[in-house]
Amino acid sequence: MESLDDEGQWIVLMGVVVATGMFILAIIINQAPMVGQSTAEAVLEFPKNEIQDIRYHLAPIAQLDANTTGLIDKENKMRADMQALSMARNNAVMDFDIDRNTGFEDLFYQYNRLDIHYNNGVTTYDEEYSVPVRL
Amino acid sequence: MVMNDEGQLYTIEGITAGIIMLLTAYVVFSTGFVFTPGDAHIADMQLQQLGYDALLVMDTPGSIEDDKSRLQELIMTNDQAAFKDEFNMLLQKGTGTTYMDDPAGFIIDERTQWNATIYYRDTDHDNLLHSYAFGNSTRGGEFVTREPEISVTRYVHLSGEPSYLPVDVRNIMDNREQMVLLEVLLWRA
Repeated sequence: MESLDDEGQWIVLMGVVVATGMFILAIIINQAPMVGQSTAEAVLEFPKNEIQDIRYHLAPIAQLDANTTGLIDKENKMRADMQALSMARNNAVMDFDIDRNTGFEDLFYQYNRLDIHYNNGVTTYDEEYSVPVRL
Repeated sequence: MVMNDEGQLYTIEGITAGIIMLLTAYVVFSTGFVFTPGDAHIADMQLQQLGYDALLVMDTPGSIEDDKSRLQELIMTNDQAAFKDEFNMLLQKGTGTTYMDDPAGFIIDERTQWNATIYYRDTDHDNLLHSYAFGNSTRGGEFVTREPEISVTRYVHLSGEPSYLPVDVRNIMDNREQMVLLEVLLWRA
């Protein structure tokens, strides 16, 4: 190593810095499409809108007074309709239970419990929803 | 024999630079630049959310005094022409930041095609599901060939049997309070 020319080391160093920078940028470009795709797949896979739709239609039923005439019949028909439609068109098993005598209440509301069960083979979802009813 | 050991740093630098360039080239070429069928997920997700949102908007009552949503009204009167107009309008709305065909109405996207069907359960004949068509977009009825579609659905609560139904549907459908399922197939033409 007696006559190593050590001039121009800044140039060499800048070369390494620029090359490393390009490498990191390339990694970022490489990851970007993967992020978009896996996010989209995750969103498509979870049936968020179906579950929200089910809850949207069941909450008003859960708010009905326990003494409403024909309540059980109405509930059973709705359950049968939704189960058949859900199985046929969304490939999902769904069921629900409504408890109107939970005993939970505060000054203004009593809370009925709505249990939603949903399973489409990929997503299993169970929810306990406390539906407020104005006292 | 005396080995010439000058310029060793240059040799190491050359090898390092070569490795970095090879790695960079590898990473760049393995990047998913090509829009593969797998990437269609992204467009599908956006289209699916758009469809669900449009149906949710239509199935929300206009005010707290309204006990019926617009979608319930349209299904109860079997008003397919009005459904087509209003559903199309919701699908075609843009933010105003992209190219607009109609700046006043913020209409940007006229490519999305759809075909709607209503499914209902019959209890007094065969206890099976039946269906009837509930309209389609301008080119949504042509089923000879088209892009792959995605499905969006919405339960709709009906207080009875819709009026103005075709005779064969009217004969089967129950006249009772019931849940039906509106299924819309959406695709970009």
